[in-house]
Order: sequence, then structure tokens, then C-alpha cells
Amino acid sequence: MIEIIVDIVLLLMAIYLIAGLLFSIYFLAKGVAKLDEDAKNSPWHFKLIIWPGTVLLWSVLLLKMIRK
Amino acid sequence: MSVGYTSILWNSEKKRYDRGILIFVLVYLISFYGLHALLHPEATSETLLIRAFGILAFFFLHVILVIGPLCRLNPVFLPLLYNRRHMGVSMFIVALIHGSFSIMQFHGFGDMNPIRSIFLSNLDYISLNEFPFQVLGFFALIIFGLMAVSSHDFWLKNLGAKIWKMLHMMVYVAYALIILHVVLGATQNDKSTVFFMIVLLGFVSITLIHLVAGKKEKKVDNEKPIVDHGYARVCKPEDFEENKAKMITCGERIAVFKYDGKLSAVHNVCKHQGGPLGEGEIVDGCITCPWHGYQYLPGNGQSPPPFNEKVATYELKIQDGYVWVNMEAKAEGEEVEPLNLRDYE
Amino acid sequence: MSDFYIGWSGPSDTSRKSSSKFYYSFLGLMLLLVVLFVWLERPFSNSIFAYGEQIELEGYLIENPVIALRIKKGDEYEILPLLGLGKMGPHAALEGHLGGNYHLKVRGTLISHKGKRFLELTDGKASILASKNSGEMDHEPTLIGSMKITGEIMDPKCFFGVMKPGYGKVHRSCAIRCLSGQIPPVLAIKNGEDFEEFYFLTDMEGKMLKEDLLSYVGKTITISGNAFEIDSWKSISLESLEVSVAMPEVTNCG
Repeated sequence: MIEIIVDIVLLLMAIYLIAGLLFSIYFLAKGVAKLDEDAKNSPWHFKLIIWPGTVLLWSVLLLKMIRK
Repeated sequence: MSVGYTSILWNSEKKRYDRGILIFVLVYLISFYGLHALLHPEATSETLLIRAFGILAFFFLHVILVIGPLCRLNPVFLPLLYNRRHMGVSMFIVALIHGSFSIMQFHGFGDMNPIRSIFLSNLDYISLNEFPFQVLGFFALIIFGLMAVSSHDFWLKNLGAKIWKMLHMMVYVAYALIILHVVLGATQNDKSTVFFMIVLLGFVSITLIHLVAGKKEKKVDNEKPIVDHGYARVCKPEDFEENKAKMITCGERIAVFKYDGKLSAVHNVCKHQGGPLGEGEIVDGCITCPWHGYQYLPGNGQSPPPFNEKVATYELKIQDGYVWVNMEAKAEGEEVEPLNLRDYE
Repeated sequence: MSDFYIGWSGPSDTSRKSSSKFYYSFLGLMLLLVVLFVWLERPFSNSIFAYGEQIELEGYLIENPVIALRIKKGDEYEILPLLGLGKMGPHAALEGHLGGNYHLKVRGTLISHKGKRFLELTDGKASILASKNSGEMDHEPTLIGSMKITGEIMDPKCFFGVMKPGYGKVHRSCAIRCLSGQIPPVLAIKNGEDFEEFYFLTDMEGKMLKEDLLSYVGKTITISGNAFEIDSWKSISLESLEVSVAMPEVTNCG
């Protein structure tokens, strides 16, 4: 029973992370400037530093973008 | 900070702080490995690495947690708070090294996916003594990771203050997980009472200092001002110190600053990371937050250009020899005519 | 000049002094804790895992009570249990040789502690340098008697060399992984502070036990069964098992 629960949770986490990776490609290329004007023309190292957060917190970013 | 983002905004103080962290880590590792080479030459390098980085992360976590309450008690500790986020990220990196090597060492190269093994090797979830302590460390590491990746100002702005604060308050959940991780794990191994007592001492110290700081804050908030027709009484005009503030709590905390013979009132909470503006000072004509030096013009609560943070402003009046503040806040960044004290002399 | 600290404008003399004081206090506290920790830390064993060096050995391949080479040494024999890479048993490396009667020449990495040796077949199948069929070896274990023993189940690969410490709560997951990977389980009995006596755990037919033990690994348990001696090793066939908080002891019941 516990094996099934663990496998489901880990699978969901993996799916979430993969979705985050895919989202981050779009977000760092275009989306970030739409969400935050101050991120327009930001340097590559800024995008690098926010990339892990984009992967992990993509769901919140997506919600904010939709609301905007 | 609204001037266009960069990765890390270095200045000399931050560089000094980070140099300090790096030197600290190097001195620690040299002494840890050096002492082991002297006293325990048979120790294996993987075990030492896991222990070294685990202990270091644990120590860092305590330092980080103690900074906040210390600053509430005495502003002399503010230099420790200024670049605390870099210490937090450093702590996460150290914890990540500990966690990664532990997973590899204890769960890797076997017949099961190592991440699965974290949860499924030891199944004694209903036992306290035998509890799979590594699961607690795993979840704590996730929390620290979420905090580290969201420590840039970009996240502060775009997650919104509420979500960002909630995320970063999870440090206390992570701390509880880590205490249990250590107590149900490492201290069980050596069965040394001294290790357990040190962990207990750390936990008690963190708890006590939070309670003391919390008590002090509550005392301030419990001082209910006299209220009359929507105005709250602050103090007498002569009680103000030049370039400093008096604060009152009436639902919200309001900071009233004196500068150039005038008084202006703003919402006490800095837009950056919630610092107490009222504990700051007027520097170069601007209210300056004591935590990270964010600034606001006292007359309208706006950050000076090119920055665009804004705090709410309040109307003031003098009546019966006292300064009173209108408890209803104006809009953030709204201009309010300062109260000229010379008119009342 | 105000002592008000503004991080971005650089430190004042006062803030520089106070922050240096804190820094050196934390550094001092940390060094004290390091000294205390290293001083009180349980000593590490002098077990050896000869990582990076391989030796060649030859002997008869046996499978009970454990997969091992039975190596002739003068008039006596040494049982040298064989292990795989990582947390795995030797089964993959010995594919095609198990269930038969073989004399093997192998190459591997030695693990040794407390007079016991194990060999990790580091190169997998390539660890088998030569093999030839042989007649069946007479290696019947000698019955010692019925026993009730209290000790800790551990994986021998870690305990005898690869990991320090290779026992206890923190190591438990690793031991479970090793036993799950078919590294033979060993019951270790303490004599004072140290583990001094070791028994391979088998089923009632004298074959290596596997997954049934996983939930008992790393705990103090009491096992009843028949104890056997085979050359340099002992084994016990599991009749009953219970988790125990008793002091480790060996009781000869018959």
C-alpha cells in the first residue's frame, strides 16, 4: 500500500518538474518580460538565477500571468 | 527593486559578508577534516563528508534563525541581517551536498531507485524510535530549496508579498523537520547524550529567543493609543527625536517621523521584506529601512526615482498639545502635507 | 555621526566592530563544537576495503550457507564470501556458474575485518578469470547445536569494510538495500562495545535468507535456530525471530 502511495507521489513530483522545465523555456524566453516589465532586456545571468525557481514555482507564475 | 534586474547586486558590504561565509566554511572544513586525520585516521571520506556538511548546515540554520529575533531585540545585530539571504542560500547548498551524498551512499547503487528507497527502505513509519528519519531531511531540503530559489527580489515582487512570506515562513516547518531528522537519526547512532543535549540546547535557544522577541513585540502592540474621532494619539511634539520616528499600533503600525521641523506619517512596513520603517532613520531626506536600506520620501511614501516602491501615508494634526494621526490610511504613494511644527511653537 | 546601519552605504566603524565581534564569536563557537564532536565521536573501525586494488584468488564455488569460494589453505579451508558491485550480491557476475560444481579463478577487491574476508567481484562477469568443472566438494557444515542468539542483522559488505560505521540506525537503509540486493545477511553479536561474533543467517534448509529479514535490519533481535560451523564461518538457520531490547547474549540450548 505504502509503495503505491510513494510511487504515485514521486510520479506526480516528476511530472510537475518536467512541466516546470518546459514552462521555463517559454518563460525565460518571452514570458518573464510580459509578467514583469523590469525583466525586459535583463541579462542572461539574471535569467539563470531565476531559472531554478521558474522550474519549481511555475504553477504560481502561470497563475499570475493568467490573472494579468 | 524596480530598476531592471541583475543576478546579484553586489556592494562592498555584501562582498565582505560573503567572504566571511566562505572563510567560515573553509576554516570549518579544514578543522573538521584535520581533527579527524589526527584523532580518527581510519574514518572513510564519504562518512566524513556527509557528517561535515550535515553539521555545518545544521549550525548555519541556527545562526540564520537567531538573526531575526536578535535584531528585534537590539539593532546592533542588523549587519547580520543585511545579507542573510546569502547565508540562507549557502546553507541550502551545504545541505544539498549533505543530502545528495547521503542519498548516494545509503540508497544508491542498489536494487531500487534511490529516491524511492528514501521512502521504502525503512518502513517503520508508526514507530518513533525506528522512524525513517531520512524522509524528514528530504522534505526539509525541499523547503530550503524552494526558499533558496525564491530569494531573489524578482520573486518577492512577482509571487506577491503574501505567498513569498508564507513560503519563507516555512523555514520553521523545515527547522522542526531537521530537529527530528537529527534526533531520530544521527543522535541515535552514536547514542551519546552530549550530542542530544547540544541539539536540545540549540532548539531551546532558538525557541527562547523567539519567545523573548515575540513578547517584546506584543508589549509594543498591546500599548493601545488613545483614540478620538478616528485619530490616534501619538505623543507630544517635543518627544520626537530628529530624523527618527515614534510608532503606534492601531490595527496597523504607523511610523511618524520628525525631520527639518516637520512630521510625516507612513505605514510601518517596508515594501521590500516587511522591515520596520519606524525603527529606521531619515537619511538624505528619505525614510531608510533598517533592514536593507530601502528608502521612501516622507511626504508621499514613494521611493525616490528610479525606484517605484510605495507605502501608505497618513494625515497628522496637533491637538491639546499632542500629535494625532488619522488611522485611515491614504493610498500608497499619496502626497500628504507634512505637519509643520514651527506653526505650533 | 549616526550609528544607523545602512548596508549599501558600507559599514561604519561601530558596525564593523560589532559585526567582527559576532563573526569571531560564531567562529569560536563552531570550532568548539567541532572539537567536542570529534572528541566524543564513536571511533571508526579499522576495517579495510582495498578500493582500487584487485587480487586474484581461486577456490571451489559453494552456495550454502552463502555464495563463496572455498579456498584450500594447507590442511584447512577458508570460506571467502563473494559479493557484487555496489549493494548487490554476486549473482550477476556468477551467471552460468551457480547451480553447478565449479572451481574458479577470480579477481576482485578485498574487504577484511576481524579476521574475516570478503571479495567484491568488481568487474562483474569479467571478474571470472578461469572456471572448470569439478567434483562435488564435501563441505557439509558441522552442527554446533540449538541456540538462542541476540544481536543485530547487518550487511557484511558495509560492516566488514566498505562503510564506517556499517551498522546502526543511520546505516539501516543501506543495509536494507544491500540485503535486498542479495548480499548475505549476517547476525553480529556484541562482546562489550564491539561486534565480535558473526553468523550467516540461513533458512531451515541452510540456504541464504533474503527479503524476509528487511524489517529487522539494524535492530537488536533474538534468533532461535540451529547453529552450524563451516570452516572459518558459522551460520544459524532461522526458526524464530523477535525484536529484543535484551543485552546481547548467546544461549546454547542443546
